Amino acid sequence: MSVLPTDTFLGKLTIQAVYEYYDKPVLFACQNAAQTQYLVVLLDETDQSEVWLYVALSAERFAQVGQGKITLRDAFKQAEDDIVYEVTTFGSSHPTQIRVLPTHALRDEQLPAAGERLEGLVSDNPQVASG
Amino acid sequence: MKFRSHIPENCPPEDADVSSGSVYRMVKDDPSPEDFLSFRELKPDKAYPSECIASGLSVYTDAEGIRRLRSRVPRFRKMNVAIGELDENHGKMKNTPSNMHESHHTWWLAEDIEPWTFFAVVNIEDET
Repeated sequence: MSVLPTDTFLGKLTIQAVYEYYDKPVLFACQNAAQTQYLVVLLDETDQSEVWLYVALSAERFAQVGQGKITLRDAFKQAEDDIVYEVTTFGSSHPTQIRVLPTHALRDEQLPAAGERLEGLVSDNPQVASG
Repeated sequence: MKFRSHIPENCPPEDADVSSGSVYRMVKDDPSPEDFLSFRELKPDKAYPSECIASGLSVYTDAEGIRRLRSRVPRFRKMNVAIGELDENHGKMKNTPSNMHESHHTWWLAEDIEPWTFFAVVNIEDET
């Protein structure tokens, strides 16, 4: 899927579930070949680049987020590893840039609104996007 | 009906309906042509699972769907919401619900229409 970076330390990513879609997946879960799962949200975009926030989730925490037991904001703000990745993708001629951000440095405007949570659906919807 | 030139053969799908009703779409400021470009027009070289979906535009048919999108995805909190009234001359649309909201539709634009002329920014907090 074109919204995913390739050739980075995040691994060979495939989309597992799309939670929000607007012309492309903009809030979704993906997984690499080593089974590490990430929750991903679109932070910003320009004509030349897209900026995404990635957080790694254990299987247990992924389930809790999917069941709505943990808010989307807390999924990022209280990451299990205390870090998230800011991933900036460009056109094919420019390599992806990844910054490691400590969760304490995250500002509210970089996060889903307080209280927003998934509501128990975790499967992909093939009508609008698939991995 | 003729569609925008980037829309592929056999698209829109046969089960798409003629466009109709009020729909919501994100705009950067006041509605402009750049707000109505599809993924395929913006990213001509990027792969996508469905060329037909990539050539259409996301719209929501109720304010709650786009309010939630804005609330969940930081990118869209910096943008305005615009509403437009579609009729059969504006193209075709199909309900393509995202996982958790039923009002997401894909809209394939008819050739030569200028949606920025009939969309207007709206305060969705007044409508939800």
